[in-house]
Amino acid sequence: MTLTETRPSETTDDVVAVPVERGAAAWAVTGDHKRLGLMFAAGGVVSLIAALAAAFLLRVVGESPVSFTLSGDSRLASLATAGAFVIGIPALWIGLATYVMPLQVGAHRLALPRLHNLALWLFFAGGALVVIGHLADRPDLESLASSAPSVAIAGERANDAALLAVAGLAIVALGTLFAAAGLFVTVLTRRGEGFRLVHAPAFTWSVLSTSLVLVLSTPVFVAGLVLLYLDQRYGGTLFASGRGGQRIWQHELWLLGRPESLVFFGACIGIYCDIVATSLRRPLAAYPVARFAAAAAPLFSLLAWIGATSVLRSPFAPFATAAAVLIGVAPVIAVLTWLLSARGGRPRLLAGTVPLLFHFVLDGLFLAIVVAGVLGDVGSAREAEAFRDGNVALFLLGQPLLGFTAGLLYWAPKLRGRVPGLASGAGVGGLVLLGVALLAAPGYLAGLDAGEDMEIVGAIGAAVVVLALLAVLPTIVGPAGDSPGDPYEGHTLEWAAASPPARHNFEEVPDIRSAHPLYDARHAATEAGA
Amino acid sequence: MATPMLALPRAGTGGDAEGRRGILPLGASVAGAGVLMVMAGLVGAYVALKSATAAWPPQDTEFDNYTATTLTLTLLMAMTSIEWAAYGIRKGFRGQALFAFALAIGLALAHLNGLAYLVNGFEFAIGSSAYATVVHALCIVPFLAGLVALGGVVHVTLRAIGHQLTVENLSLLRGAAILWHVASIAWFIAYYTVYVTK
Repeated sequence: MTLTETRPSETTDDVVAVPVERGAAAWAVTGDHKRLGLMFAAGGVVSLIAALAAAFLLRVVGESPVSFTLSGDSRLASLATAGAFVIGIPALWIGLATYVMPLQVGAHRLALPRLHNLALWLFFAGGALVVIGHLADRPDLESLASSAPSVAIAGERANDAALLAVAGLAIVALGTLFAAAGLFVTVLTRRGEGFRLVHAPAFTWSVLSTSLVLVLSTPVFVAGLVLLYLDQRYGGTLFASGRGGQRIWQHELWLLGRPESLVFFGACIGIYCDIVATSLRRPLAAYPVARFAAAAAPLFSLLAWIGATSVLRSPFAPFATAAAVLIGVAPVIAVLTWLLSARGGRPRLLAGTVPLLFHFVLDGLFLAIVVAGVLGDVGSAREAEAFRDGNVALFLLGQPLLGFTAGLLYWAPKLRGRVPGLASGAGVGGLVLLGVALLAAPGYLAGLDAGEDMEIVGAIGAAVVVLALLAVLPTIVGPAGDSPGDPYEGHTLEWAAASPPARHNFEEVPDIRSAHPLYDARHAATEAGA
Repeated sequence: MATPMLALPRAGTGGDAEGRRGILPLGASVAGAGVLMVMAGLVGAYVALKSATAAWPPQDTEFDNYTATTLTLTLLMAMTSIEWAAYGIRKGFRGQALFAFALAIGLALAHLNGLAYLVNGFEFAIGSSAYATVVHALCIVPFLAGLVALGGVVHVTLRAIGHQLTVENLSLLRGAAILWHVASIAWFIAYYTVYVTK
């Protein structure tokens, strides 16, 4: 048999010899999971900054008189929604997962590196199309945060700006799908020799289930975009056809009607499980339960398809409440295992732990506001829409931002070889919490009929979140440092690699016999010394 | 600061080499799941519109059942041909494998050509009604999936011609075959939705 190309060998001796290629071209065509992860994460942060800048301008210019909400008949609202929820947050998660997960499972490389590289460029190309579309003209298209479809006049062709934006969103969604597929296959097939799936850390389990949810749910979004494009391109009447068109919009295109809106909230649980274990200096108690929570939280987001019927009657409506409760069960289970593990221990604060504490504050705030919304009179459709916009800012934007910034700070030694201080964690976490709270305030106040003309507060909130993102950016694109390989005495395999890891990740992949191999090895060494 | 060097035992040999050989089939299966979920989204849209519209399909809509059924049968033959090619490679029957590859590519091209003919022959424009839009989408997605899968089949055929496809790297062929089967199933779904249940 003659082979025309030589794939990298799996043996340690061969991969050690792989030289590190430098230059922009090498980065552009790279299949290295670390470079791909950094580019995804940097692209995600930049996209979020652009989205929040649009949200800031939205309030200053006053295009939408309602709220953050990213909804309203405005190109800035549409751009902010797409930039934050379709491009920025998914790219940030993909970046973190692409960088860290292979290290956690002892892999030298991704399973499908070329597919991952293609996904990266689809993200960039699609994102560019979305921006160009919005800059070129005001798209004849409602923001995806709006629960009711409002597109070009039925029977008339939409303008080119709307078509460019829809095509760009579809390309970004394909990139999400390809990256999720690559991560899913990597977890299942590229683990180090002898590394069983049950020994994978909680974050890897959450990557597995989050990528599965994305593989199942993103194509439905693509189907909605295909319909939207055909309808708008050829002057159709699909989304103006009454209940049928509204139902398609709500379940395939509306932000809150899709699992993608909740899946990244679930993905944060896996990140926090790893951070909490390291902060407590011991493995989590009832680890299989914590692992279940980390894997189940993203999967439960699929239930969003059941509950997302705010306007229309649905045959699944009786199950909507149960679905909403189930979505919250996994995080509660995870928190219980953390509390159980903390009992009698010597917890310490790490830079990545602080955003978790702010996350608890955010959840408490969110619950209080939801109760206020239930007790208050959020009666009219306009008030309900404004209140929902507050939820979008506080819950759907705040939760993943806190979770992912916690992950970036926790794994900063692996990303760029630098150990962030507690002040970094407090600063970034505090700014994110303050920013999203201010951003959500106008929507909540308008929803509760308690205040109008609060747009300047929302604008300040958007600026504060941008500051937080700028503060966390050096963990991704800053100069490389030379921190120790394991500055936190971590438990999982990524801490056995250098910081930042070598091209081939590990000099030799250790034999894994538990979910916390470094903790076991450290204690075995201590006992042997004693 | 902790020491970065821990005395972790080195992994043994063997491990999950079997799993690594399955990367391409698994990747193709996951991509296939994505394609089928796109179809699920479109069928969901079709059903949602159907349940909310009094006249469905619109009156005077004509169906080219003959062409659509022929396309379905063509795909069944193409799926069988791909499996025949895999059998030939596995057993070392090179002549049979190359013939089966040629047959599969011919049938695939015939299907894609026929599907383009079918869509061009629709008597309703894409934007003429909600029904027209969703039916066009239901046909366009299998066409695009078929194009990608055909690229995969052509790739493995060229490898087979160049003596680069053997039992050792059969997973390449399995991946391409899975993609083709998924593209075929996507058309079967569209056919069942539009032409059988209407």
